[in-house]
Amino acid sequence: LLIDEQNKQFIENIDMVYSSKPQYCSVYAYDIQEYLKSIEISYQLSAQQYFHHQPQITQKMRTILIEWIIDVSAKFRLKQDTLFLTISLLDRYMLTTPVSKNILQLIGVSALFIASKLEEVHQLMAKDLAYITDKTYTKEQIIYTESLILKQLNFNLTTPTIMYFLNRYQNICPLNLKHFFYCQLLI
Amino acid sequence: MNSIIQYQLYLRIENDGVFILSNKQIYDYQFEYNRIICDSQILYQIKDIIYYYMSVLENVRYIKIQKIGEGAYGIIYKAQDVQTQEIVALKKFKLSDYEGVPSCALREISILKQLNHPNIIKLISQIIINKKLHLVMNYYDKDLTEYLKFYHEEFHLKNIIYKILLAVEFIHSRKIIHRDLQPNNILVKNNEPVIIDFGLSRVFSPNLTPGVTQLWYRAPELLQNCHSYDYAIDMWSLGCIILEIALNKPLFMGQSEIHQLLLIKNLIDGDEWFKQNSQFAKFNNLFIDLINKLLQIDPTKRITSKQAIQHPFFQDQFAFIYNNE
Repeated sequence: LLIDEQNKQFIENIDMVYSSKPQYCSVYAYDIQEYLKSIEISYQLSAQQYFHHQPQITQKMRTILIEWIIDVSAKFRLKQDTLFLTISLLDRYMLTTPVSKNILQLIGVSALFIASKLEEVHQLMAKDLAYITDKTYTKEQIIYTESLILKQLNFNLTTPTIMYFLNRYQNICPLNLKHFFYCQLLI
Repeated sequence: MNSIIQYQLYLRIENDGVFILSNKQIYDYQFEYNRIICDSQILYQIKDIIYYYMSVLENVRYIKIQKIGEGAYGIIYKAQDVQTQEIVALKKFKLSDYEGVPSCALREISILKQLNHPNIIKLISQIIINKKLHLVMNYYDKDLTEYLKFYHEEFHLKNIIYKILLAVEFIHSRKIIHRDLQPNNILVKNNEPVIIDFGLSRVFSPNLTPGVTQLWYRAPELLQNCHSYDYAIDMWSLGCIILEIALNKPLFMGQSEIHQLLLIKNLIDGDEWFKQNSQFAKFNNLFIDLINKLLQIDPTKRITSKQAIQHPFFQDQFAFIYNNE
């Protein structure tokens, strides 16, 4: 317990270094980190359970979908937060509901749609997303799937993403920039 | 089919008239309303009829009583929960055909779900009916502006200020900025404040839109169109609100962004601005110190909510807003 207390002190001292820069929101950093850690546990997924629920989806198909989402988000110049939130929404939806092969991409697009509404300053249009799927799906389908996902997740949307933790650890013990970008590449 | 009925059957009572469903319509799943004009005496009988239908259709949950407010996002109704007899507020969002659920509604729901605090409004449930999204929340009848129209004991006022600060500290420690703090968004019941309306709030991120908060409570960095602000904008609004509680009138009543900036500039000039103004002579020194720290033009010098709740003004039991002498 004493060590914990010392640790906390130590981390708080580090936070103070950044107190002149408001973007690091240093005063709350410790509280935020503890809170996010505590809720992260409730959102953790297990890979085994995941594909057990999905008769039609294989690991490879998920990989292809996610690669495609990354491409799209690069094309629209979305924030990285949006990307991670999309993947987290997608996984949490798929964990509870079996998805057939032909609507996998639709689920992905709708998750992207929700995430962009939450994170971006200018949200994506359903029209554009329908276009980006090569008109496989219509915008009505996307909007309908959106409401399905929202209902299934019971509107619990904001999940802690890996981006936040990476930035935080970077603040606490700074790596040089090259290593930092390498870490970003890894996640 | 059950779930459809559950959401479609809203019975509406309005001031002068009652809309109820006829038996046939219930079985046809047609939802046209028969209008019955009534005065308050037979309102009771009609209520009985409604409750009869309610018992037939256990799925009916809320009766709309009255419209309370309207905004760009949608309409707010006062309503009664049939099962618990509790009065609730229904906030209705229209879902557009083009963009689905509006992003302000999405943010509000997902944020409210995370916040569990006595001084923050509770989201009881959310329902989608007929392409309309309804948020069910606790009902409070007074907001802060109405509350301040009557005389209140000073310790109540101080308590309200403290509780608001506690709630804001809680919001900030969850990585959320409220972005729309104003007296209309603070409700009061039994001298306990409750913060509502998270339609503009969002999870903190480095790049944000500057056009938030009502003009009178907008922080100077927002007025100057800054894109990377932080929690300090909430603290500015709080400073304005707290002074409004003490002065009993809004502090800066600008008509445009430039006018607002000018008003701020005129009032806050130099480090000792509050000493030059006779309005503030009656205030306690500690209170003035708190206000001075909240209304700093430079956002990095403004105190955070965490520091604000540890301010000596709240530590000292006998420090009230006004000087007693």
